[in-house]
Amino acid sequence: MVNEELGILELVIGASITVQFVMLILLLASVSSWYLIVQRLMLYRRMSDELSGFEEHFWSGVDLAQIYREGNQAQADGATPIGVESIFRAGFKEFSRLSQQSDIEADAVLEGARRAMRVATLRESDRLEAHLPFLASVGSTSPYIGLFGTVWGIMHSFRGLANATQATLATVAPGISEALIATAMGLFAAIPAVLAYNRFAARSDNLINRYDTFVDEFSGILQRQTYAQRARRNAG
Amino acid sequence: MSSFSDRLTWFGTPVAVTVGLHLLVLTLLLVRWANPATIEARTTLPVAIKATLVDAASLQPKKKPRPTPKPKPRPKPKPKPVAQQTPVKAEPEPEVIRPIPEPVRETPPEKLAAEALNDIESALASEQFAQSGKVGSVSDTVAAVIKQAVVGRWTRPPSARNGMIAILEIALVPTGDVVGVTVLESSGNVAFDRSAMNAVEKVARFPEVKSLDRAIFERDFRRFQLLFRPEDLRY
Repeated sequence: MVNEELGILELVIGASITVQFVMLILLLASVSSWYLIVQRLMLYRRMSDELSGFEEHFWSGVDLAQIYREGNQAQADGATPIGVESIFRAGFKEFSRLSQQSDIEADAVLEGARRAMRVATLRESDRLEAHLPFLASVGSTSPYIGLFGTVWGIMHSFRGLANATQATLATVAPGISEALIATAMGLFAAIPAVLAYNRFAARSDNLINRYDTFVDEFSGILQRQTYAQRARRNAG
Repeated sequence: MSSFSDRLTWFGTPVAVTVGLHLLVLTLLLVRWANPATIEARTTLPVAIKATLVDAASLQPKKKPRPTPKPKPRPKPKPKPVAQQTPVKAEPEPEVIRPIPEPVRETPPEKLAAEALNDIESALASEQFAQSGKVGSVSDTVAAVIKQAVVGRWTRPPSARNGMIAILEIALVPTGDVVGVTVLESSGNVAFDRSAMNAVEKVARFPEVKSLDRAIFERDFRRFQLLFRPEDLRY
């Protein structure tokens, strides 16, 4: 009975070169998409933790310059600012640089700070959305790749059938079974990739929205500060 | 320092998770795959597929005398085991009827003591004669008819498996009636042996034998063997 068993390994090894090639591609697709899934998952968790932490810190009433200085300290220790902190730093740096020059108008200062923050936000959203197209590609094409392998394998097993004098199910069954493995692998690679893509796209949209909200709130604060500063200067 | 460990987590964790997941899936796949295959093997058994009987009577004469290039001179006079093995191996087809001359000599030596000499003599003679090709074809035809008749009546038990072989010895009288069926070599499965015997008993009579030449009858069909082998079963 042992020799009657059709092991999946024997099927894969016995497959034709084309089918094996297709299987290899699908295996690579599956491995790399899973790598990205886990990596993105970690990134999003870290980003949203960081965002929540920073917002809490930001609204706790600490002086903005103090937050900026803490960031400087961390940067000196070798940490690169990520997420909302880098947006904050970009905006605050630009704001303080511009507002030191008294000949620049308040609106121009605010506009400069806003622009710097917009750039930083774009950079962050690039970071969040990196590799998502790859997941989308895996999700949409790997079923087709697998299907190609299956069709090819079935084509071959039927071509072999033409030469067989006795056409039994047993003659074609191993070929078809081996060919179907390709489709199974394609689906195995595609389903997590599609799910992950949808989830990650929603999640990065969510994060970017929160960044935008933060940018707006922060510019509101800066505006208030600028006008207060100007009013004091004019009064004084 | 911190950036190194950071990088390690950022790179190592996904790699570990990915590799682990794929290995897990692969293991599950391999483990699950093995079991249903055996179970299925057992359940699908009852689905019996058509049996085919091949007549060895035809084959043996054919083999020995006709293909002159084939150097098999020994099966003729002496070695029984060789004779028995050759038909089984040589034929790709499931069932074989073997002509008597050899088996008879082998199995019942006492009974046939008187006949034996005669038999051998005639066997040798007919072998020479068969080289002309005539006799072979006649007994081939009859053997094919017998085979077909038996296959038509043969219903295999569910316990039949590929690789089972039962050899029956059948004794005929010149009218074609079956006078004796014995299991020469059991398949090890009683039901299977029984089904083969039933098939022969159901046929009971091979009218075609009547028309045979007496010498050929004595040589090939007085006693002959039928080999039952359900070759086309899947398991």
